[in-house]
Amino acid sequence: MANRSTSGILNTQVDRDRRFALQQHFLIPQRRTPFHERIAALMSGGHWYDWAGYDAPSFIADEELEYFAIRSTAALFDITPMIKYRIEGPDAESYLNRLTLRDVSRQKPGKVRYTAWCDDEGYVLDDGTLFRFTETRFRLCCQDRHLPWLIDSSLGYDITIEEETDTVAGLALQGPTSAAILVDAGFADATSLKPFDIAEFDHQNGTVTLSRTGFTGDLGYELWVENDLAVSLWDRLWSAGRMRGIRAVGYSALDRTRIEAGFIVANGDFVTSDAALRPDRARRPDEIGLGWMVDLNKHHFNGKRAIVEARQNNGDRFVLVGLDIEGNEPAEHAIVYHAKTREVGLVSAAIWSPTAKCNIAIASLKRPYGVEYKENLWVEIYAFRELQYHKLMKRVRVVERPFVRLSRRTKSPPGEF
Amino acid sequence: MTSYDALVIGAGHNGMTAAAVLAKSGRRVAVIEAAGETGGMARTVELSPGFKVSQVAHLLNRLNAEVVQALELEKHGLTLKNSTVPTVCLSETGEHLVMKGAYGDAADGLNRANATVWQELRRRLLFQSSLLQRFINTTPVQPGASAPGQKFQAARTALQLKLSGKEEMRQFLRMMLMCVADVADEDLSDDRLKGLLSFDATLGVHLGPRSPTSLLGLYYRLAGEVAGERGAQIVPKGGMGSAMKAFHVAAERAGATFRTGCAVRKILIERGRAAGIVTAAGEEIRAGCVVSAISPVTTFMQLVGPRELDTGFVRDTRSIRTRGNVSKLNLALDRPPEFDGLQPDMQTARIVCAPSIDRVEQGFNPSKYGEVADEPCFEMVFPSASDSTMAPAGAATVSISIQNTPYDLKQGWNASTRQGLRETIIRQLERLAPGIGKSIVASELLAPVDIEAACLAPGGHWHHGELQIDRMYALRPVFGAADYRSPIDNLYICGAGTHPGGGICGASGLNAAREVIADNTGN
Repeated sequence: MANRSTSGILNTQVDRDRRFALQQHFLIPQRRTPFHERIAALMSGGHWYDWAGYDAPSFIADEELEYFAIRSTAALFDITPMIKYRIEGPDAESYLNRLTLRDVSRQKPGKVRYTAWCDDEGYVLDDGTLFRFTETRFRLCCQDRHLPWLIDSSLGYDITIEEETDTVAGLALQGPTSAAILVDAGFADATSLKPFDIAEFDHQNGTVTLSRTGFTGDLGYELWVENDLAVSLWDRLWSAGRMRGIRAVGYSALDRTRIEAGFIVANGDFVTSDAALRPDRARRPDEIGLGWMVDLNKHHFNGKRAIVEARQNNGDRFVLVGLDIEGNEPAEHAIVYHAKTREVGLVSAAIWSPTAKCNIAIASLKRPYGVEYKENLWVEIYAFRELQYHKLMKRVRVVERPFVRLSRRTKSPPGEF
Repeated sequence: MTSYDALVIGAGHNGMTAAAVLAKSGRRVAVIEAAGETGGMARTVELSPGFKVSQVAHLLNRLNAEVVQALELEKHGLTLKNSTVPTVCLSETGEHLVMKGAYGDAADGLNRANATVWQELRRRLLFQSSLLQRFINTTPVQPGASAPGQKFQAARTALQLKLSGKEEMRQFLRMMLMCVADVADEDLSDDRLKGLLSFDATLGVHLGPRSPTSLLGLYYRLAGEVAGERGAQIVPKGGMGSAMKAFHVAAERAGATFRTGCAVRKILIERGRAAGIVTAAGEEIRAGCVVSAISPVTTFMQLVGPRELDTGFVRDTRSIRTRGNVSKLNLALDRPPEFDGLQPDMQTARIVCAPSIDRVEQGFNPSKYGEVADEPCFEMVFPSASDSTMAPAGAATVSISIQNTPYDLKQGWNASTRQGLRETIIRQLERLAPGIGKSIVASELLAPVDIEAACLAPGGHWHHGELQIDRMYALRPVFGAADYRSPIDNLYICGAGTHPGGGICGASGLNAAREVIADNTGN
C-alpha cells in the first residue's frame, strides 16, 4: 500500500481513513519471520521474546557460544522485525532532510547512514539507519513504528511512503569470517564493499540487497530480500558457512557486542519521545550522544528551533557516557553517584566485556556530571549472592565509546579469516 | 525593490489596527490586501444601484476600547456615542420583546416575574463575563514565558473573583462550562428571551444551546463593549465599511501605506526568519517583520508552507476547525418592511428571529449532518433605517445573518440550494411582515463558501476557526503560537483566528503590534 502525500491544508476524514488503512500490522498480534522454522529447528527450547510484534530468539542454545561466534567466527541474526519504510519520489531527499537530523543531500546513492529524528520540542523520536538506493529511493530502518508521523511530515512533498516491514526479510551476517562466507556463497563482489556501502546481488530468480552494516562493531553485513526468497538465502549462507564456524545467534549475544561497540538502543538507553509518559524522560540528541548528527547548516528540519534554543539556553539536562567500572560485576541499572553520596545518573546497559576485558557500561548522567565533573564518580552494584545482596560501591571512569574498536570492522577489502 | 520595517498581510480591521500601531511606533509599514478595497469581512457593498449594505458583518458590539483610543477612531470618522440600538426578539404572535440599552438593562414585554429574574441573571452574566474581559487586551501566556504582566492580570482576576464573595465565585465555577439552555431554563420562563440568549451564545460557532460550554459564547458576546457599554451594539451609519474607513484613515494618517488588489503568494523565509513577501504577480517586497492578519491556516499552510514548519505544528494547524456556518442574505426592498407589532422606531434595532431554545436547537441539529433546518434562526438589521443614504428614497435594505447553514452542505452549495435557503428565510419573513417578498428588488445570498471566496477565510468562518473552549486563549490558534509569535522568527500573526477571536474587536491586531514593539522587531 503506497501513500501519496496528504492532500490539503486541512486534516480531513479522507486523510484519516487512508492513514488507518496503511497501518494494519496490529491485526496479527504475533507474527513469525520467514526464518522462524530454521531458527526453531536449531533452538534448544522456547527462548522467544517479542520484538516489535514478531517472535524473536533471545538466544538459540548457548549465549556464550553465540557471543564468541560473533567475535571469532560468524553469526547469523534475524533482523526481519526491524521496522522498514520505503520512501520514494522526486522530493524524497528534501523530505528526509526535513525529517532527520543529518544532511541527506551529502549521502550518496549506494550508501547507508546512521541518523535520528525529533519531534517539535527536539526530543528524539527514534534513531535508525537510512539506506539511499538511488537519487529518489530510500529505506528507513528503525525500532518503533512511525507511519503517522512520516505521513504527516510528508505534506508538501511529492513522495510515497510504504511500510515494508512485513514484506522484506533481513539477516545480519556478522563476524570475522562473514566476508569469506559471502564469497563462498557466491557473492564474491561483496568484498569490494566499504563500510556503509550497498550493493545488489542475484539470488535465485530475484535479488538480494547487501550492505556492509551491522550492530556488532565487527566486520559484518546485512542482507535484505523479499520474503519468498528468504529461506533459500538463509540456506545458501548456512551451507557456505558450515566450515567457517557460522552459528545462529539470539539477541542476548548481539546485545553484548553492541554494548562493546558503544551503540545505544531506543527505549533501552533512552526513552523515545513517543514512548515517554513522564515529562522529564524524553531526550534531545545532545543528551544521548547524538549531537554530532545535528546539521545546522542545512535547511529547516524538525525540532531544529528547539535544539538550537536548548543549546543557547543550557536547556540540555543530561549526557550519555561510557563508563569503565572497577571489578568484574556488571552494573546493569545501577545508580551512579558523585562522591558516593549524590545521585547523578543511571546505568542503562552494562556487561563484563570478554573482548575489552573490562567492566563496561553506558549511563545517562545529569549535567554537569559527566561533562564538567568526571572525577569521583561511583556506581552502587547490588550483587546477588546466595539469597543476599552484596552492596558494592565501585569507582568508575568516564571513557570514550566504543569500548571495543576492531580494525577488521572497517578494513577494506576485508581480511580473510 | 521596496523595503519596509513591517508588512501587514490583510487589511481587515485587525490588520489595519496592527498597521496603525506599528506606524505610530515609527516603523515604515505597508498593508497588503488581496481585495480591491480594505475592510475584510466588514466591507460595505452596493447590492444594486443605490442599495448599500454591509457585506458580511453588520454590527459593532465588541469594538475594543483600547483600539478606539489607540487609533483615535472617533477622530477619524467613527460615531459611537448615542448610537446604540436595542434588540427586538420577534414572536410569531406579534408580541415582540424589546431588549433596550446595553443588553436589556430595560426590557419591554417581560412579565414581572421574568423581568426581576432577568435583571439578576443579567447582572451575574455581566459580572462573570467581566472576569474574562480583562484578558482581551492581554497576550496569552505561553509555555516557558515568564510573562509577569499576564500573570498579574490572572492574579487580579482571581482576586476580583475572591472578593466578590463565595456565592459569586461558586456560581461562576458552576456555570462557566454549562450550556446556555440549562442556565436560561433555571430561572426564566419567557421563550423569546431564552431564545435570544441561545441565539447570541451560539451564533457563529458550531454549537447548539444544549451543547456543553455554549454559555461561553454568551460570555464572549457580553465581554464585548461599544461606547463604554458592555453588551451594547451599533449599526454604523454608512454600513460597516464606514467604520472600516476610520481604521483605514487612522492607519494612513499614522504613516502606513496600503496596497490593495495585491494578493500574497508566499512569505519569504530566509534561514528560519521572515524577510518579506512575494506577491501573486511575483514581486518581492522585503521587510524587517511580517504581521499576518489573515487566517492562521492560510498563513502557515499556504504562505509559509509545511516545509518550513515542524510536523507537530502542522498537525495542530491542520486540525483547526474552519467550517463556517453562518450565511448572509442581503435584500434590497422597494419600500421599508412592515413587521406586525413592530414599533416604527424599532426599525433601527437588531431584530432576532429565535423564538425559543427549541427553535435554536432544532436549527442546529441538522447542521451537524450537513443540512439546513426548515426554519433556521436569524438576526437582521435595516441599514437604510439607520442611514437613509443606504437605499434610494422610499426604499430599504435588509441585512440578515442566518445561523446553522453548514459550509459542507451535504448537497453542496449551488444555485438551487442557495435559492432554497433564500426561500426558507423569505417564507419566515412573510409570516412576520406580510408582503415583504413582493417588495424585494434585488438580493444576494452569501453561503459560507461564498464568504470564503469573498474574504479568503478558509471555511468562510467568522472567527477563522471555531471559537470554542479547546481553541481559546493560550490554545488559539494552536498551543505554542498564541502569543502572536510564530515558529518563524519575525513572523507574527493576528486576526480572528488568534486570541481573543473574531467580531469587530481589533484587540488581536493591537496585542500583536505591541508584541512586535516589545520584541523590538522591524526597527
